[in-house]
Amino acid sequence: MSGIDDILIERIFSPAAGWLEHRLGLGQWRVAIECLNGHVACYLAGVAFAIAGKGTGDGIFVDLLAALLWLGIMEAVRRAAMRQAGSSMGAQTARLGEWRFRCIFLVMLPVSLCYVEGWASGFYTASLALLTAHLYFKACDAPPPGRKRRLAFTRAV
Amino acid sequence: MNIILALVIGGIIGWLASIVMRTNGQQGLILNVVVGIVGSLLGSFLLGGFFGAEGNIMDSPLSVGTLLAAFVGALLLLAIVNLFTRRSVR
Repeated sequence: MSGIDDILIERIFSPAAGWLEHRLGLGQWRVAIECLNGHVACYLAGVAFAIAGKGTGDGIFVDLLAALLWLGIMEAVRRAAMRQAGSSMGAQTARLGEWRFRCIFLVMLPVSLCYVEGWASGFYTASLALLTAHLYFKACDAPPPGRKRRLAFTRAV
Repeated sequence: MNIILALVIGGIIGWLASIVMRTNGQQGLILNVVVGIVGSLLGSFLLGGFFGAEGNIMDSPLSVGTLLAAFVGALLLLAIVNLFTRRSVR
């Protein structure tokens, strides 16, 4: 499983982070935090769709309490990401320390995709994908420096 | 009756999760089962939406979505316990 984790980091998410940094000017940590923001937005949309048809006697309080707890956990995740972003060893810490969580969420993703039935579960699955992307973008290697274009042309001129 | 069933299923899920996380040799069986029960309760409560589960392991302990959420919750709690108890490097 850790082999797939390494392949995903090195072949997919690190080049994607480099592309986003050089083309759009978004750094690796900024992308990770935006993924977390997207996760929270999709999760809230999922909760909204899940409780939309329920009344007060249908256990709506339990759903809202679970959502509140989950948002509290995500706040802790955001603080951890901010702390890692401020550290020079943040990416290495994330890569070595959080690989179990990445693997668990990576396995969860296709299983959750199998249970998509309506808008609520669709938003839940999208939020799960964004949370997985957040963990992977945090663990990316530093993107390579931007390639200088038309090097031969400028040398010739 | 549901509480006893939830505890038994939580224990089995905790044991299976400890095998997956390879902590069944380091931590005792009782600690694994306790972590599994707590993790499965929390997981089915928090992660049920990701698997289309209607309730938690106390309400509907035999639904597939609830069992999956409970298993993932137990895995996550074991990973968190591992994070604080030992520093492992791949």
